[in-house]
Amino acid sequence: MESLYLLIPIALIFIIIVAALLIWSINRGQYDDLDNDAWRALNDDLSSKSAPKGDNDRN
Amino acid sequence: MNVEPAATQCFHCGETLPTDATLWVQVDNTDRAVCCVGCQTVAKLITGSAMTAFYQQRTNYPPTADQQATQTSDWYNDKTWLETFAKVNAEQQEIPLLVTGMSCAACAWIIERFLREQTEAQSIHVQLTLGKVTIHLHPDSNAGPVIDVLQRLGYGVQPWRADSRLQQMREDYRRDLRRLGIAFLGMMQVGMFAIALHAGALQGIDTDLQQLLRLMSAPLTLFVLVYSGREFFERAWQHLKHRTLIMDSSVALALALATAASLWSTVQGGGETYYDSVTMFVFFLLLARFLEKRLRDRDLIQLVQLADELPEFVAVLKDQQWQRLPRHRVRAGEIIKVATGEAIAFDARVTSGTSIINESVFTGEALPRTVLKDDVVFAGTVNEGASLELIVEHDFHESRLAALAQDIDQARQDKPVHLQLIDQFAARFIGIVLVAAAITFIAWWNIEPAKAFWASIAVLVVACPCALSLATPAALTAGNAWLGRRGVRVRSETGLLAAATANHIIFDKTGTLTETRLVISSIFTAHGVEIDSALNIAAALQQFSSHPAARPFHGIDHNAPLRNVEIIAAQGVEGWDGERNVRLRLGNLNFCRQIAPGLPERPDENHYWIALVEDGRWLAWISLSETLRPGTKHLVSALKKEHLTLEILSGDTAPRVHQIAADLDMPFTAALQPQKKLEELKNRQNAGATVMAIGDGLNDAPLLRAADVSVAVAGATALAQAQADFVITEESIDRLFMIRKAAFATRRITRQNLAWAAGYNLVGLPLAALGYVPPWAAALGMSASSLLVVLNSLRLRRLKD
Repeated sequence: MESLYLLIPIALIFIIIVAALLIWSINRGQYDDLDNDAWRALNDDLSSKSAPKGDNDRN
Repeated sequence: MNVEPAATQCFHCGETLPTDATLWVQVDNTDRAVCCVGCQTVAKLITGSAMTAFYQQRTNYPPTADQQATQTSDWYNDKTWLETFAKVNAEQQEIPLLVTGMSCAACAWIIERFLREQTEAQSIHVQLTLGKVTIHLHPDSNAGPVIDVLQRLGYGVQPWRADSRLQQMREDYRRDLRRLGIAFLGMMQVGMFAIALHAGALQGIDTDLQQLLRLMSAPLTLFVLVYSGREFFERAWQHLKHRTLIMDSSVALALALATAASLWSTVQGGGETYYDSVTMFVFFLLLARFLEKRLRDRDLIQLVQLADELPEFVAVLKDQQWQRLPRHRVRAGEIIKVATGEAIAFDARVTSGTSIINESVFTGEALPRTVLKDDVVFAGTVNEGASLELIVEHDFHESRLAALAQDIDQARQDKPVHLQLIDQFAARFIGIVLVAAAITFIAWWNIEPAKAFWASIAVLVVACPCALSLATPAALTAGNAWLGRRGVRVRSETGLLAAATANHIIFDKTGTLTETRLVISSIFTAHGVEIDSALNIAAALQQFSSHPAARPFHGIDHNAPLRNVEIIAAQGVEGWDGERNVRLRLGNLNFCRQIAPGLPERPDENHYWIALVEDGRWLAWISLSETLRPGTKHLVSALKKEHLTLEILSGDTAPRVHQIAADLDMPFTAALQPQKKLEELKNRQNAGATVMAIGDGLNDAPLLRAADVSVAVAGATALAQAQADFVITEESIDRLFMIRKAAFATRRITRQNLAWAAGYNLVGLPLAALGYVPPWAAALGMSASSLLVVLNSLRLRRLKD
């Protein structure tokens, strides 16, 4: 049971990291257009197959 | 090769096909019927580029290709204008565009794909939710060709101008999402600790471990409360300053007390904690608000920008030369030219030219008005005839269109409010609870002081307004989402509540009950002339005209040998019969009488009439009338059975409104200006009616704004859509049934929720006051009752069509 005294505070550290990541990604605008991105993820192969330019220049 | 079995809808855009559809496009080895050349071109463009996947992936139809009449791609080659909204520097041009007609993710995909193949474009970024497409170009290249591709695909393109409202909306969205996300994470983690604590309470737990779990929960809960839950406290405080209590007041009080009690227990090392209930409550309340707000924001985004559909550039006469100037630089007194198909940007007077102006947005009249020299035309109307030269009479902000916008602002303040009910209720509720808690404390203090604090906390927790405050928003959110999936966009928070109580329905005529296109309804021929041969000649003459009155003829087969066909603006069409060498005319009374003096008067005033004559002899009077939208008759008779008062308020002339009203057996008032429509509405409301208004035009906008609940139909002007609570996106008006159905179901669920919440409090409060409810049971009951309300509301998802 002693391990719990270590594991529980670790859980707290994890949640702080996750929360910081979430806020960072929201501020970066990654959640601004959920409809399109949800769809794009499923059609990844379609959009990369014959695109003349790489996807990496999308900002 | 397969041929698709009898299709009724255009494969590309979903419009109903004309009965004699002859246009096809081959998709995946199957011939598919399309409605017009525009759709055919776009469909070929898409299939020809191996992007057929678009048709499998789409969830909505793209816009009809010919909806975008004016091609404006060359504007975008004008660098000085471009710089008014684009960012241009030495490395690249960043051009933000508002693209209309992007209805689903497949549209976003096809736009990205097509634009990437343009050599000018460095990169493309499509934001579907905003309807925004950002294009990055090389600094030297022109944007015109890229814009042209978008327009050829059938999408409307406008410059995207930074708007403080949209900026604000994005900031709000991100802030709400951050708060919601943090509340969720906090709820999950605190909930995990809580499960351990509850399990420990049942089967025994180390007090040290229990204390550790509480010490971990406390900072998490406090953070969620301060970060995510602050809006409850802020709003409660604002209202407190004005000495009013709202739902948020009791929410804030409950949150504060439950947290304070939990902290007290933690510090004392005994008693109950409510950390899990607090975080859960914050999350569910925020979630309901977030979903509901997001639903409304989506439409606002486009409407903010679309409210202004006037051309960006105007041709102005300067130093004897036509120059294209941005609209905002044109002043009163200048001469402007408006080409065919363009919207007029100012209130102005005709100085030269003859044309026809479509004013249906203002007047509700389906056929355009003929304008000659010295006639006045209005901003927002469309020039459908030949090009016109106009002298600008007023700056834009003094125009009739601007005045209409002011009327709408006025009407906004007069709108009846429907959600205040719950806030009034809350004010009384919170008072009762506070008194009950105080009495409990005092009573126990005298009987058994040790129990006083926990019993009064139990009272407050049991009486927590969670379920009450979630009851209405949860049901509304579910009801609105249900409608959203069925072709009705919901723009207002409380429209559904008002829709359920509406007992008086006001319809606009043109464009709402009727379609704006005309059909041939009857033909009177002179002695000896056969109807078919009259139609044959008329169709042959009309094939060259694009006047709205000519369109009904375009589907008719004709073989009359004609030559020298000439369209005379605002009069009609003239041509020569190639075999018999006689002159033929089709058009208005005076024009036709010039060659056939014997032409009798129009048979009646209820229709639009067109005469057909040849030299010295009249052949026929052909009448055109508006057609009812599909489903209108069924809708009206069904609504009558429900004992609703129906009526038509129209800006069109009395005989024509009478025609439609008689057909539907409804009372009507005709020839109403927008201001008069508003007065009529007020009279009904003052007489005690709860009014639902349904319209489409600019002239309906104030009416829609002020009605208790309002619906804009498919194809309504942006200004009208912006004012309506609901926007029907399907052609058929019978979506109104869906709105009513959702409204009743939502009201039923709301009542169940409220009854449950109230009943729970009625039973729980006395028990808690008597000390029978241990605080953990109070907390469990509070969470369970909120959850029940949410789950009950989710039943709306399964409502049948």
